[in-house]
Amino acid sequence: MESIEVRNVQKKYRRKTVLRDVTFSAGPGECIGILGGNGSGKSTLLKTLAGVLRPDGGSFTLGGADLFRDDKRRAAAVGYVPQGTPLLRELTAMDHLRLWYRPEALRRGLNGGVLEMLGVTGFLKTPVGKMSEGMKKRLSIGCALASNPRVLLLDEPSAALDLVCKANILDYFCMYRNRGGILLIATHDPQELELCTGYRLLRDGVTEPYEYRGDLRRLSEDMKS
Amino acid sequence: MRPGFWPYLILRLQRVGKLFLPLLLVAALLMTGIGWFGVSLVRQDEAGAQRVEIGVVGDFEDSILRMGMFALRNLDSSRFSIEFVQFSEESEAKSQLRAGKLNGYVKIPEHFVEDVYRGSFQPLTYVTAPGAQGVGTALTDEVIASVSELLSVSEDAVYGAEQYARDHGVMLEEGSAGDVLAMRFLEQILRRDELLQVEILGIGDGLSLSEYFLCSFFVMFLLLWGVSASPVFAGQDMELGRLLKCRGLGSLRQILAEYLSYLCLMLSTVLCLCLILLLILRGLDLGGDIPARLLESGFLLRAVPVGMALGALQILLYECANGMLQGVLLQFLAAVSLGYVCGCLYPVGFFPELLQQIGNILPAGLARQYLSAALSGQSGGWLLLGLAGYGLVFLALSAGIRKHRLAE
Amino acid sequence: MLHFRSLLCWWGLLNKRLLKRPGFWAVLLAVPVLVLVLTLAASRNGGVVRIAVGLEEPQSPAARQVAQRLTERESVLETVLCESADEARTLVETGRADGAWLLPADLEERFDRLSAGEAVPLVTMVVQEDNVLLQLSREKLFAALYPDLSYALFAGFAESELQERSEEEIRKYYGIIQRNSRFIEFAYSDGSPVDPMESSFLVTPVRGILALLILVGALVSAMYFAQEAEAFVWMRRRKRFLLPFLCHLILTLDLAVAVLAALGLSGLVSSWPRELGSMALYCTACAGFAEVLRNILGKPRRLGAALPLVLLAGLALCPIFLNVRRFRMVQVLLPTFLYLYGIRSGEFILYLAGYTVLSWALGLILARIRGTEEPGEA
Repeated sequence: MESIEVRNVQKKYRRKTVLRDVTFSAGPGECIGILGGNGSGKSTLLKTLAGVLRPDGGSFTLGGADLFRDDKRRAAAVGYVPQGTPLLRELTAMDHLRLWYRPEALRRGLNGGVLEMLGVTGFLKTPVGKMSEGMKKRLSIGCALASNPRVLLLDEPSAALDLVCKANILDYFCMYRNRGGILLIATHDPQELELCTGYRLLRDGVTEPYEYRGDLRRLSEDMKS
Repeated sequence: MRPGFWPYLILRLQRVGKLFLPLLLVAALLMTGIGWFGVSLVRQDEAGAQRVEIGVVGDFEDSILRMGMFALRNLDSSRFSIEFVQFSEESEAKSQLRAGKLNGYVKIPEHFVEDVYRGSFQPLTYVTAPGAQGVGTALTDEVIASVSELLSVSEDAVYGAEQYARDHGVMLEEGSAGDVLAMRFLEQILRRDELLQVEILGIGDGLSLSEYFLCSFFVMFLLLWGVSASPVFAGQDMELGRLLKCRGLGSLRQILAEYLSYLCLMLSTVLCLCLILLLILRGLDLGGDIPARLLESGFLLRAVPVGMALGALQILLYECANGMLQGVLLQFLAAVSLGYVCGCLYPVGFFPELLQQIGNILPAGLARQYLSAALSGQSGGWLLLGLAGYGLVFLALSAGIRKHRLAE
Repeated sequence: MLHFRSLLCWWGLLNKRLLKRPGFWAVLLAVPVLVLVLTLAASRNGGVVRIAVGLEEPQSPAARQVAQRLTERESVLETVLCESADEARTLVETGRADGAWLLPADLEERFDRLSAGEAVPLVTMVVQEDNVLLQLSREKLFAALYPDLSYALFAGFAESELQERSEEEIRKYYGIIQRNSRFIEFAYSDGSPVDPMESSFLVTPVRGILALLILVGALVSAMYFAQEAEAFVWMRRRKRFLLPFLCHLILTLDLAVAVLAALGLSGLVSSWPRELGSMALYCTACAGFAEVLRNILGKPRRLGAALPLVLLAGLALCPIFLNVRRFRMVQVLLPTFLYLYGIRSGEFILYLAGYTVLSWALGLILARIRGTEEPGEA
């Protein structure tokens, strides 16, 4: 079971430096909560690690292999669930799954696999335009898991979900973590924070370890200062 | 606070205001482009005629051919409208045709002159440009076909004279019967312009070609302008609309506010630019009397109801299209179809009677005629009513569609 | 095999996202319908210029014969026969005709006087303004006058030079040779023949307009891609470069189906294999062009603002309404120009192929430099 190491990751948008020097690590079965105020760069960090954005410096290793330089390995090892639900309105759930899953993996996922666990099988023929937010989120997570990743990057995964749906999704993440997966969650949500085994506060482009003890007021003050 | 009509209108104006500068730049470039296009169509060169360039490929060692080229370039009446360029190799002519320097070229077969004397020859080949057959190409081709007929008829008569001379044993002092007759034909063909007595009446109540194209291109410009507003008006999300509806701002008032903001944007970019351009042209004494006529005839003032009617059409098209993709494609199809059928690209007189009648009652046709009426000093009252009617219908339809979309 | 099936799957699903929109179907169906309506309505041509042919003496056989020749032949000029010269003149004065050709009562005598060497005009032409179209249209008038004029010249020559007085003999030898073949034949630069009247000049711009529709479609796809790009966030970075090309190509090919149907209905297709090949190449070129522009301009708003400029450049510089022989360096930047020229010229098809390769390569390089493989960054 391999660990991830994020070292000195930097990212700039034109002249603005969003990530200056991000460094942390996580092992199997760990869930790291990335905390920070709005605009602090949490989503940017996750996008950079996911390969959506190109980093300006640093490394992101899994078992010693730098995933920034190995696109193929990163695609296989890292799953990313973005903040919104980036799906094509006209296509059905099944259409989306066919885009991202290989045929055998799709069959496995639908028959007792992760897709069945997420409950996606219940709305395979529904177009995205007619789905609820919960259904869309579950489908997004299903798409992110197509490569059976060992690392899952989640950007506010349960935002705008109802309580039941939220609970189901968090249960799945808990199970994923317990099976040795590594989770990085950018969040403000207390229930998501409860899932985490460690925390990093992102401030001024730099992460630092943070001790969260369930005190949201203190957290918000720390984010401001 | 209940969102009223005016606050929503101000909000829309603020939104479209961000497009003002880029669209002003686009409008400036569009106008320059359309102006150049129009000038290309009606341009007069120093000799007073637009010149078509035709290459002639042949062996000009032959004196008859050399004489023929000389006659074409210096004596024939077509010399004012056609320029003949000599080539000894077909490859040169082909490359000039490819580069767009020629409209076409004529290929004279080898031993052509001798074959003509013998009475049996291969025809000349006129090689035309590979592009689509536009008006210019069609007209050039028809001119060549007419010239071919003149030459065929002449040649048959010359052979007839030769045959007569052989059958009756006639010898002429000047040369063979065919040669003498051929010179007479040649003289007549070269002087054929003198066969016409031309009476020019002057423009009168109608418009000159330049003025016609000025009005039609202006309408085309407004039609094409609709495409540029697509980033703001195409594929609008109805969530805000539903929220406004809940707060008492119904579909009609929403459409009205959006239409007014669209109109402000369109008219401010177009009219500002026109006014500035015309004042500059008049100040620098460029463009003949056209700038002064446009300023004094109320052309710009008439552009306002024209913009209102066409703007309403464009709002309707954006409302019909549920998404940016369909919105832009519909705007394009509508702009080019209407522009074409209503005489904004080809003069309306080019079309059959039925199409002319249809084109003249469509919005772009009414718009063109209304602007033309300004230049020819007519009131255009009925045309204005027609434009107003179209504008109201389009807005009403837009409101109806919006109501339906909000209810979905 | 797996890659091919995967590509097919992508192709099908990306296409499905377009074809599930009723609005898109409306556009696809509107194209052939509009073109069919125009083709039917334009089947009776109008004319580049409208000429009223007026007879000073309706009973004059020579004038009637010339008038018949003018009005019966198919032409890009529209000729209207009037029963009197005054009627023809009135049409011009009221702007209902561009010009009038007034054939005199003594036309036959004038032919004879001409052949005797006297300088005498044959026809009076009345115009409001004498423009280049009217000047070129005169050749048609000369062609209609010429059979009678040439006979008069021949007869005059026969009498004065050949001492022949017998009308019968003169007519016999005048018509003794009738080759009935054209002096000049028409061809395109690839050697294929052309009939000057093969298609209505009103309908031929349709090909160019529809080609522009495909170009617009490619540009709209480029604008639209920015909205959709996030949906492809799970794609590997290396493959993500090709994704916008694929999206643009799918849209252009869908439009191409509608365009080909329209061209078929309008009778503008001469060879289907050539048509299909050049259309496929053109769609690919448009995809490359759109991607280059997307990478240069960046934001969808800028692309939207540039759209009318590209349209105008297409209408003005491509051989749709005019065959403009200037600004060739700018013309070759537009795939529409190369496509339209390539319909009749294999050379230009090769240029189009080269253009396609270059535009795709440039699009990829610009994407790399700009870093616009990242969704939502454009």
